[in-house]
Amino acid sequence: MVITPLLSLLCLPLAEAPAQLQEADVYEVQTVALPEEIEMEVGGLLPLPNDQLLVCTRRGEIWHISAASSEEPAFTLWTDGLQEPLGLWQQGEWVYTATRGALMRIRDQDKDGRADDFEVVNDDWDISGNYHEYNFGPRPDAEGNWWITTNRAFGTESFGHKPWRGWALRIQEGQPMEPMVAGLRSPAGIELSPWGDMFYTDNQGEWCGASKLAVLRKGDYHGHPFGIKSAALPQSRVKYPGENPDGMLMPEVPEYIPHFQLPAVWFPYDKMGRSPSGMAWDTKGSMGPFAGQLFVGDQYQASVMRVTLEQVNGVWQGACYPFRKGLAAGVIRVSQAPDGGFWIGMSDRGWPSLGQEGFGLQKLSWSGVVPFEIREMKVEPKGFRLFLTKAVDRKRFAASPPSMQIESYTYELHSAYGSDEMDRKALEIGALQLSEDGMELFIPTSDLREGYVHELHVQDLFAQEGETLLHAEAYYTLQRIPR
Amino acid sequence: MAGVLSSRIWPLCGFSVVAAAMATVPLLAQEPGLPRELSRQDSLQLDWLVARDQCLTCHREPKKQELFPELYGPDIRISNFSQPDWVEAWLLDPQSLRPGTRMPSMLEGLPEEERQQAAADLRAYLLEGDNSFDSSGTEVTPEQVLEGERLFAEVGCMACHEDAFADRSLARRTSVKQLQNQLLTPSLTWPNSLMPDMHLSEDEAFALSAWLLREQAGYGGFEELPGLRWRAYAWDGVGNGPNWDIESVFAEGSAVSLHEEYGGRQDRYGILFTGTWQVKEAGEYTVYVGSDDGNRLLIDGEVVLDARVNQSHTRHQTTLDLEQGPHEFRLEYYENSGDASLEAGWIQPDGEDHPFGADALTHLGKAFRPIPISGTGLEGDPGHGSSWYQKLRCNQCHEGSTHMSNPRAPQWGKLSSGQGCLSETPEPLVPQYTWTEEERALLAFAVENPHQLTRARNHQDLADLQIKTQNCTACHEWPGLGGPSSAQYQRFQGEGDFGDEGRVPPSLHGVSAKLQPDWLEEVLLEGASVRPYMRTRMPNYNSVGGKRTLSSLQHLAPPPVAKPAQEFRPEMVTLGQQLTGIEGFACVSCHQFAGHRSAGIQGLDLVTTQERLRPEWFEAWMRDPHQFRKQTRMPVFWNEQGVSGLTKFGDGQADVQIPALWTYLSMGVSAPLPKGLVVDGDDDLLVPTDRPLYFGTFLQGLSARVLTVGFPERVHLAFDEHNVRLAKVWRGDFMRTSGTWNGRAGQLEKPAGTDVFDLPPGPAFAFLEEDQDWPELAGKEAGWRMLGHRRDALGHPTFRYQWGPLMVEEKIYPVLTAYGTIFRREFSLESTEDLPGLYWQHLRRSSNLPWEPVTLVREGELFVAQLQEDLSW
Repeated sequence: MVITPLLSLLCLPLAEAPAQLQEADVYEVQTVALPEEIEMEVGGLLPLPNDQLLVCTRRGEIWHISAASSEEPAFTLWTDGLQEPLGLWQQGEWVYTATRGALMRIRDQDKDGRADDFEVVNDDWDISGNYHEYNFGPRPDAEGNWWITTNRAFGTESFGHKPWRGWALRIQEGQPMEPMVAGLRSPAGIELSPWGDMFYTDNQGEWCGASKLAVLRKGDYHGHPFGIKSAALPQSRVKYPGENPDGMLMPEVPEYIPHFQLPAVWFPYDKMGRSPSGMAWDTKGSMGPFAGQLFVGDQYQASVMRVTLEQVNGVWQGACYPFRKGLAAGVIRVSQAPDGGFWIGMSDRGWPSLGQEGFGLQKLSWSGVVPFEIREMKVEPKGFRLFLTKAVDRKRFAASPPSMQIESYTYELHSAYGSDEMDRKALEIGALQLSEDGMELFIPTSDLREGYVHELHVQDLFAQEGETLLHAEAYYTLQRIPR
Repeated sequence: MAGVLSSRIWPLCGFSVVAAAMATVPLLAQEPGLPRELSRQDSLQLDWLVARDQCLTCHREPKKQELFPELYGPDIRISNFSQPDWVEAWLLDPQSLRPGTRMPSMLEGLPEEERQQAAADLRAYLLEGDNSFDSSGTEVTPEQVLEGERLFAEVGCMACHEDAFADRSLARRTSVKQLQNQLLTPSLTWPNSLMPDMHLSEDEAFALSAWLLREQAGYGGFEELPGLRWRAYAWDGVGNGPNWDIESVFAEGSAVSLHEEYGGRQDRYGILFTGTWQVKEAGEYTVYVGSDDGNRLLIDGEVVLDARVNQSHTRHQTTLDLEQGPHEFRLEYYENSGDASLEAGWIQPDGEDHPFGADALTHLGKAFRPIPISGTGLEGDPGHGSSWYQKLRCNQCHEGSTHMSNPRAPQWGKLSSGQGCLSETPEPLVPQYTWTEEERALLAFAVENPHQLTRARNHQDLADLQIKTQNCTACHEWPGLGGPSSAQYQRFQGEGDFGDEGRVPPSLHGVSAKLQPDWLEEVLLEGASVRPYMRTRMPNYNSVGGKRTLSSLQHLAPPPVAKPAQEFRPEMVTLGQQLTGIEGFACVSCHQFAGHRSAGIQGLDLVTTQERLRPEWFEAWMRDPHQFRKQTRMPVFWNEQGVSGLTKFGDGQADVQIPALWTYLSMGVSAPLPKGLVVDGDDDLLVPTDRPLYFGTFLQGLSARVLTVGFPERVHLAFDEHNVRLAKVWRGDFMRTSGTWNGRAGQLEKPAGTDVFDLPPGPAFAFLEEDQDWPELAGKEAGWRMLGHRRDALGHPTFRYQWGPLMVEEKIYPVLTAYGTIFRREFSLESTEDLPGLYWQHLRRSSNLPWEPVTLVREGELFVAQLQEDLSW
């Protein structure tokens, strides 16, 4: 036992075996020390200049934190009494938040550090008194209209069933709300992409075979029928799609239901997470090799996942990758600070999480170390191309090519909770093609299937420094094969 | 000292009497010539005797009839309390079934054969067409019997039933279920019963019944019965299922199989299944549990399956190596919300599935049923029974005053001693009482001297009689009558370091001058109580006797002063708050305040002061508590000159400080909290201290969108944003958060305080046609839009809402007043057009109509109005 470390130390220079990086070496996590009396069950984050931060909590408070990244952050209760606010946005002196019963805007008119003016921006929906009637957002679209997503109810609806649950609502100030998209289940994250499309995340369950990331487009139906009867109401921008087939493979559904929208990315259950939540694009290019990519929180796994998207034949699709596990509690919100770091807001109340704490606030930032990773997996007509963060050791590649396994599967639209991976197939893979600079690897295959997840596992791929991939898997959701 | 005849303990519900030994026998000593006047004590003893045995029911005394409490016997036509054979046995010999009973022997002097037949006939008549006595067994567990024994000693049963029903006649008379009902509602079959309502829960009444009828367990004791026990627990949805050691059981029972719905709740509950798994053969057993939501299975105390998560139906299994024989079985199941399901069992090697149930599980219990008692064995004739009933005038004691015509016996004034009931050799069918010689002598005296009954009695005499009749002295001291026996004095239990003050019920000396008449009424007729540390319960005496007692006590003191001597000034509230707090006299070191814990012992809650006490008594108590209670731990704050050492508040003058304390405490639950309370000992409660707190929630009976605002002044409001109206105001505690901030939450909350006032339905403003009622429709459906609210520098809200051209701002804030804080509402209306026909639904009590027209005044482009009202409730 005593000899082992000595041996390994001695062996290091001889064998040229590199130290294999861990996630924590690449993406550091800093925990904000919370005063004991504050239960920071984060529902929304609003990073502000000068290391300030507004945090809304599931308890209905909004906290102002200054010197948030320092060792001695200062907390001020900006306001209280909101009903489960689950998102924050700022426009001028107003802070916007979606509460259960209304889209509100709030300001501190007399500048005493406490909010004093609370306005209802829109409350065209009613709530039944079910715990799961959460609203997420708001986010402004490219035209400056607000979007919020509404969670379906589960169980008792004490004040009677109400319409517009499981919808994405668009709100132009001073106008009646416009229910734009239907069929959502538990759409815990909503975010505007840098290119102007609105995306949301949703959680696996009944009628939602796997957790997903999907684009919100007027008139679409995403498959959950809980609130679909509202489509018959005059305000609806979605045509009533008829009854769901109970037990149909997802790729077949769009033919059966017009305007049925498949997701851009499925997050395979447990392999990636269980409960995707808030997300944020790296718009400041501060995430090293993954600059500009999308980062999605997972409540169950207390992790942040990584997503790349590409548009193929007019359809957004892409891949998800493991990124950073081991956060303190279930991740609810991910939001980029002006300094480029990502604030992570957490809470596990009501839903178990692998995180050790019940709630918390952390900040995740790139350490400057470049790991060997699949930067992006893209599809081509005859296969997938991997873009790597470091050059591959060509000699070693030629002497002993890495092993690549790709399996594809899809999900079923059905009423039962979650879907198995259906109609599985292992892809036949041709000879791998490595680019001259060693940074790109093409995986030829003629077995691509639209409407299927393509799950990739890589073995024995070595970078020039000798290291293997930090995460050797990726999950590409293929909706369109490029032509 | 009290007369020797007064120290008796006698039955409150007629089950038994313990006769106290007589130390001296003054009356007998003076025979043969009886004195012309009785001592005060003996007069009381005689009155009590006449009342207890209801002499005047048969021997009318028109002049003084009303002086004596009506204590008629139970309604014997409601017969399902007693098994039929017991009824016969009782009629034949009540004294041997229950020594000391007030029921006389009614069939004495008849030939034995005729006596037996009369009893059979009466039974046939009384139970005619009624076979409702349920002699089927009721399952009882050993734990329930032990719980009953504990309760019997603790809640105060033994103060009156000191012998703990040693004769056990009850076990031969009735069943656990019947006795449980009787204990829960003693007045059910006996409106004039002296047995009070002890505030028992159903479980407590069951346990007490099980203990009282424990003889029904028989010689074999408890045994293994097929099936298992289940207990359903309340759960708030927090954590992984209920804490089985803490949460309350809302239902329990035995069952032959598992089921997820025992207890009958929809959401948020747990069920604990226990029993013994009788494993027939040693070997490997694959056990499984599947449920929606969580479960945990323990065999022999070891966790073998643990799935305590909120889940849709999920099944887990494991393999156990089990010895042949009994194994302890414990299955915990809980349901959060939505669908519920539960399955559990084991699978044999051949694949056969055995759900856990009565074929393999047993539990310890016993079916209690009444012990048989021998009757006459004769066939009774209801017709003859009816004749006996008439002849014996049973109705005179058992049907109350409506059947009092045609009394059976001579009026009191026409009696002569040595005759009738008092005769040494009574004639057949004369009721036979078991009076002591002394009692006979007293009664004989009253027969010879009828003025003894008709004499004038003062309020004190009447109060004494009532106190003695209701047996208040079993727990309380009463001047002249003594107090609890020394055995009972030892027995009282309490919590905390209060000395005897914390466990022995207070003396009733001067109680009429101490308590507000309304509070006295609440204590006697509603069982109000302010001493949580005292385990003995003050029962509820909402009966004829209780009302007589109340009235007699109220007559002992003049009506209280209606108004406080000084005019109310808000500064007095602040001064009182300072004096009460930790920097003042530190009252909250020993006293609870508005439901919050003190820093030290948990003395009675000070905010009850004004509701309970008369101001003059409060002042006297504050100046010298030891004159009222020698051993009280209450300190003396002022010297004989009325000066205290605490000079920084109110100059140390009792004349300033005591009125300030009174004014402050007079605000009751809406008194602003003093410094030094332990308010954060209760995480769940929101306590506004410096500024108002805002809490948005689902509120029971209102809507899912309610903004509640709690004020440090201890008055609070709920604004229903869905219906765009102020909906509720209340005092005391603000809101509890557990239903909104724990677990997945989403429960309907309700105000945590008291004095909840619901504003009349509908919006504050409406357009009315003539003779139209105020519209109940509010919110969006009525055209109102919620615009939001503002909070001023003090945190006070102004709610903003709109109807078409009309914008309304409603500012609400607390105003301190005597006897509690109120709300002031200020409305500011602004319209772009004149709005004739607009009405305001104000809440002024003085006005005839609860609404009045609103006149808008032109101001530039706008039409405006300002309105204001004080909302007191």
